[in-house]
Amino acid sequence: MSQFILRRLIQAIPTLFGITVLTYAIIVAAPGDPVSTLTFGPRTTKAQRVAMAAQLGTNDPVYKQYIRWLIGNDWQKFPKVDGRGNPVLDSNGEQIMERGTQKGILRGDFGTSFVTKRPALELIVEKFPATAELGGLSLAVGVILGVSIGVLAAVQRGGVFDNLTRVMAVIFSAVPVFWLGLTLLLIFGSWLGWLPMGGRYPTNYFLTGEVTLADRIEHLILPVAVLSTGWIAILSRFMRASTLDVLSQDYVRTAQAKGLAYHQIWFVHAARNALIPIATILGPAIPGIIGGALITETIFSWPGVGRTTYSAVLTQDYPVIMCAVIMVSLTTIIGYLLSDILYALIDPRIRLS
Amino acid sequence: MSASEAAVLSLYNEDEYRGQTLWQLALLRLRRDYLTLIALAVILLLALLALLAPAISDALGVNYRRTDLQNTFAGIGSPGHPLGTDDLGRDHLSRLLYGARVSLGIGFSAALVSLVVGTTVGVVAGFYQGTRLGFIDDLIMWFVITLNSVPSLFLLLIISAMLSPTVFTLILILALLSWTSTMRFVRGETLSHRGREYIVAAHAIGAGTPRIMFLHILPNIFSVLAINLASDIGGFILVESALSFLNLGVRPPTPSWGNMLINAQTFYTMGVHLVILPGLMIVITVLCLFLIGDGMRDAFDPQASKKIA
Repeated sequence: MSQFILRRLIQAIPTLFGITVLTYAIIVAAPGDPVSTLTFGPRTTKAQRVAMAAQLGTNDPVYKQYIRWLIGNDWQKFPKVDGRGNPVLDSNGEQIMERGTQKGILRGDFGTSFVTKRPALELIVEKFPATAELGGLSLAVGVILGVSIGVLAAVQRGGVFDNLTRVMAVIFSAVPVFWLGLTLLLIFGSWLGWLPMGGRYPTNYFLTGEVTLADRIEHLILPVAVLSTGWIAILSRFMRASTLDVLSQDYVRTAQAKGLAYHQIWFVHAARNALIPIATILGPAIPGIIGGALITETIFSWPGVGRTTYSAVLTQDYPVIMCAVIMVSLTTIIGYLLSDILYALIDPRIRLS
Repeated sequence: MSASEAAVLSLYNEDEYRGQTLWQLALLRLRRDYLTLIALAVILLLALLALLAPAISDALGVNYRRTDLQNTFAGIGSPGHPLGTDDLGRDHLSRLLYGARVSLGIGFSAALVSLVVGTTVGVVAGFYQGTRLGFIDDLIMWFVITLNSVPSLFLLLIISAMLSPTVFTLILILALLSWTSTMRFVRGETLSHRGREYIVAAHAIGAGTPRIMFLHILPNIFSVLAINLASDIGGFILVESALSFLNLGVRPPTPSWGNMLINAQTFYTMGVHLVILPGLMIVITVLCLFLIGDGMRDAFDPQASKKIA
């Protein structure tokens, strides 16, 4: 097993490398360059611009800049310039050189946000608990409801419940996440006034600093409902097909023959084996769910990674965008890895191939 | 056994249907699948309405771009505006129709482009997998796995924000970020086909590599690809609407069903129809496309339908 995990970890390295290249390509392609942004002003002379470019290292070829972005530039020396871009000279008229200050993303330095002037990594990491709370809860609700619906639909194949849930699953896969969110907000927030219109904590939290469990649940209901419908729709269809497969197996007939109660056959004997293929779709579903979470977080003003990324995109805050892309991709890769390991744990045949 | 399954099975028992091609059999099965036919009719009707959008607007005496600040948030059934007006007093019905042009057009074109790209790359990768030129496949797969590890909505948002795309570039962006699933599928199919006798025979008579790839292998996996087209279009319409809703897709004033909902949250108290109708259009369209996709899958592969349905 440990060999399997090790092999999968090694396989993830080229992917991680690819993600950093892709992310770096995005800022290289982005309009505008740091020098013209920093020296935007009528009084900047050409000499100042040249000195600034030398200090920032933007004259170097792209691959060198990429390597510096990865491992930092504190091992290199750059000409020192003052705030206006004039070269700083020592008493002999020589250019003063100084070490770079970036540590590089491999050491967790994603740069500073253009907007808030705080470290980008800090901005993203502090949003992870909120996203994890929403995503984890939605996943739990989705798996529990999806699996139960799938099993019940399979055992009553062709019945009213089966047909009803089939229709519902198709309809809900056709509903845009953002519109579902808007409509639920309209009904439960605006018309009925039962649930808050978004946010993670009540508005007076920022004054009192107090939040009760009931408050938090109240704020979670709508976003979790929106985010879990996708899971329920996918998982119930998948679970139904895989349960049908299992129900035709001999050991289920044996269980019936020895007189076990039906609920025991369905949920203990059949569902356990029917769950195996579910592990395979959990991994690939993760990127889609994170994408859905971005929209859900935006609509419900949920202070998570997705909403932070969206506002960073709108303000062109590149350090934060790059940090978010890399962290979210890392989460996705870990998700794939976990789902593979889960699958290998459940089904020993996988490890051997 | 459901009625549709009985129909499918009866097809196999009747001698008159023997010797028919895959497409002929699929067409026969499709003709008895009323749900798919209804969905198809709805989509064709929507496409027709979208095509006739200018004529319909003229007939009603409205213009989807004309603002009328004296008459904002008119309700459904108000004089001159069957579906009311929006926050700038523009006619909602004509905007929905023009939105249909944009949404359907983007969905269809993006699905087509992504199909072409995914198929081409997939055939090439599958053909070279494990051969002397296997590094081509390794390289492509590395790229595909990397692309799949980044949630595509993030990339879409970033690239759209950077490029401020027109409808045409938006189609390209959507397609170029989502061809990977088609590619993986085609690659698998190519792998299973390239060892078969007819390919060996093609090699033997001296057919060139591109000829074998695109004139021998491709036609044999094409039917399976065509099946997914409808659901793909639906998927693209969903993504486009989400992107436009986030104000990073189709830019106003060009209406798309997604960007008509940008300010939806401020419409709650003024005009509920402005929140409900564009979304309903998306749901109906995508639902019909998904149903067509399911119907096609059943028609081409009755075995699969028996397993899943």
